[in-house]
Amino acid sequence: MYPKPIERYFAPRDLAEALRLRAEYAAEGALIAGGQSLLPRMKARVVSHRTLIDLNHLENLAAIESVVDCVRIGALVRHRGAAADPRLRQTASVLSDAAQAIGDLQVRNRGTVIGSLCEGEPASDIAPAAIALGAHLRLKHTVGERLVPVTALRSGVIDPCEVATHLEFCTPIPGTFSAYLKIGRAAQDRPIIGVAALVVFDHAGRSTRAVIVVGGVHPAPQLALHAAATLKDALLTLPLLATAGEVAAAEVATQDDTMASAQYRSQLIRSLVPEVLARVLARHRKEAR
Amino acid sequence: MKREITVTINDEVHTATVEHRYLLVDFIREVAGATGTHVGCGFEGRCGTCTVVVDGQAVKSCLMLAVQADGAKLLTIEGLARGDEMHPLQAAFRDLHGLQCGFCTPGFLLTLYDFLKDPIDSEDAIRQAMSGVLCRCTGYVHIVAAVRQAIAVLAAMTPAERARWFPL
Repeated sequence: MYPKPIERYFAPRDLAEALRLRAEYAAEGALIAGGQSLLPRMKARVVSHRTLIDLNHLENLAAIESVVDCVRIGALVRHRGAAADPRLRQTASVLSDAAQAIGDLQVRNRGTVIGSLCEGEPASDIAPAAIALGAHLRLKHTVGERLVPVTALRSGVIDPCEVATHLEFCTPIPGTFSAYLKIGRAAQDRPIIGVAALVVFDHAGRSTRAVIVVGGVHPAPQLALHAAATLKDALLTLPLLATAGEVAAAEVATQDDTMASAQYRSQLIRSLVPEVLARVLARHRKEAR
Repeated sequence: MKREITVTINDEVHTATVEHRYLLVDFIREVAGATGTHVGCGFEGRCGTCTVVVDGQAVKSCLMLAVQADGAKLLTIEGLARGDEMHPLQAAFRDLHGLQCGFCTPGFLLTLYDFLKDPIDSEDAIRQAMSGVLCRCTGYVHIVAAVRQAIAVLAAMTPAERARWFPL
């Protein structure tokens, strides 16, 4: 199908102009970056926008930068760029895993990391990974800006006058390893479950801190706090990882939809949490060698 | 509602005034007349058959507005061969029966063009790279074999020879 007529299309060359247009057209307009979620929704006429503001010419937003002790990912960083970035793969592999897990080659070439977060789909691959990293979204408007934690993102949180310019997180401390794994019905599908895990290891190989985030099973990603607590100050043995999976399956709420039942999703949590943790552990061991 | 845009498709410059909502795939087919780019699904981005190369990267042309391609350089299936000489990927598809009805083939070739610029020679990587294109005739075994042959043929070339096959 075709989208409804789009009355105005702007392709601003700098951020100030984009912010001004965003404020001027507010609720009747939409931002477009990759468009890989927005255009299908417009074509299916789930949404219609009379004004489109295209961010694709804002070249300053196309980089992954290290600023002091933070990593900043611009709004035009595509999934493919995030998946291939050597620094991200080294220090925040949970995010490169998630970017690589999204869609297919063509979608990763166009789709953006931040667009995926802002689009607010419950079954997003990026959100659990960003939450595991403690990431924030930088929202700018014409006269100011604010940081919103990714955990707080849901429909309506981003004001129609705001532009999400960067995803930011503190560079993980040495000894931090992370991973993301998903299960979808087909390779390019949205996840019916996606698990992000991040573990900080001490010199003895014990886990001093762990974060486990489960996405795709409920309207918003959930932290598996009790499961993460089972790993505290422990060596990650296979029986312990299995226990973490059991605890996560018990604490994380799951729902039914057309893709999978709640019960099936709980079973997947039980198997995927240990699998992701094993991958984190393997990365740690590889580097320790 | 409309905007004048200029898009270079296979080294030919096309200028037209199009509606903002006009999809790139229709620009390619209707304005440029390059009907080798096919539409397999209802513009939903599901089949990958409309994949073209935009500024060097494989993109589903139904998931991009034509106005977004203003100033861009595109490669479509019509631009893949060099005169009568087939692209090594096309030759491999022919040699190894990588197509049956051929409808999805332009989408496969342009998607794999992107992959072949920096390929990983493993079945898993090839299958991952082409997961965004659907073939309803025959499955993917012959296509994977063809890609592996193309990787080998391209790897045996000098960098200059290889670059000739990757203009974008």
